[in-house]
Amino acid sequence: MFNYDGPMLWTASLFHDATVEPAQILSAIDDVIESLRCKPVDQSLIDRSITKMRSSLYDTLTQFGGFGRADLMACYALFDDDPSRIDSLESEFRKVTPELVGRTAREYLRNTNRTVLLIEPGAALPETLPEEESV
Amino acid sequence: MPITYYKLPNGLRVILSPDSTAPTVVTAVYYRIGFRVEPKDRTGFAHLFEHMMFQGSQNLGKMEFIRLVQQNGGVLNGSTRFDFTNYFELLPSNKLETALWAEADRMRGLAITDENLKNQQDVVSNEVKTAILNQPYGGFPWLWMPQYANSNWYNSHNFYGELKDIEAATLADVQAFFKTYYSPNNAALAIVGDFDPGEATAMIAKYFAAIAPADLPPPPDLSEPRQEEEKTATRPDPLANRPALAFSYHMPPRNSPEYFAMGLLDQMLVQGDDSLLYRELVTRRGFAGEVAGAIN
Repeated sequence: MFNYDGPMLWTASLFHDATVEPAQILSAIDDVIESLRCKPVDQSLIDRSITKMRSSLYDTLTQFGGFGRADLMACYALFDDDPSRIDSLESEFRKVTPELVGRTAREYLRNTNRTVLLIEPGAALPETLPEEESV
Repeated sequence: MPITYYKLPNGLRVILSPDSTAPTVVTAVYYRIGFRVEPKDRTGFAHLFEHMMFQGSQNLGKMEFIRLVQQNGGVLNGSTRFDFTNYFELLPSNKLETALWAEADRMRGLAITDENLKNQQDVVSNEVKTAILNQPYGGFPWLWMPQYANSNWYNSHNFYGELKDIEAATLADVQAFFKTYYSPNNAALAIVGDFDPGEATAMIAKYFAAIAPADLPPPPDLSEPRQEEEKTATRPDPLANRPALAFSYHMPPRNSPEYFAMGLLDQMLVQGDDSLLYRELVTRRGFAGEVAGAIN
């Protein structure tokens, strides 16, 4: 999420069987999203998310002999003229409150901010699995 | 972490971050031009151009940059992204000067022929065919979704490139793109690893200070209008044998408090088996075996 400077998207995706209708999936997604928009999240959920975010950030920073660190610093130099922003990322996440999560979800996770893309398959599923050769 | 940041008089941004944990050093050059802002009749051009950066400069012939790094025990790559194109190599720490010399050589100018442009047009066209056109779900969702969700051409065109646009590129296009965007005042040089900052500073001045800056064009308007109604698109994929579904929301402005909240919402909703969408769509309802998600 850190190395861009322009409009971006948060996207989730899945593959499903033809026996499941997109409308069923979207209804289930709506239930989950609405729960974030309608009532404040627990602080414990925020805390757990910060733990996962920190883990992901440290994975990035230690990637490929220091490349991950170089990547973020170069981006912050180009976009913000301040490569030391890399040091303040964790503290920015720690400022997030349940109220801010709710406000963000109400504005950005509204259906009118959403695009849905459905892939219609054209190839047939194999009818039977190929038989294994005996050795 | 230790960071020294300064700019050369020609505008090159330099970031030095020593770390002597292992005897290796990463040299990374980032140019502030990616696939968002490419010429409108040349989709995929920024990525094609990235390939051309490995095809020869004044003192390095075709493929010689790659061989120089590999024969010195290093690995290298480059990538074209939304808002930058990067070139980087990981080398033994005693080879920093080699990396800096070589990066400066290609920042100074390319020396390429019609023949090597044609060769790379074929390479890139084959990359598009292998990764996207001949692959089930090839562009799903990362390449295709922005084309449906966004309305500003810069954010919604085919970033990998239409084959006809890739094939139409000329040497004059390559030279013009280089002259416009590949200048020190449009670039950052980051060095991370086992090196001495004083020695690095001297080498950087030696190799990069004399490269002239360019007059950069004003950045285009990249803004997206506020979306006011839900959009749904269906895309047939003749190579796919199961349906797929993706959904996207426009992100808040970068670095705003809401942007950081969305980073945590991404973790809550889709990262890990404890995430809300995984628990609902996979564990409870069995609609899918996994749910992927990212800010992209």
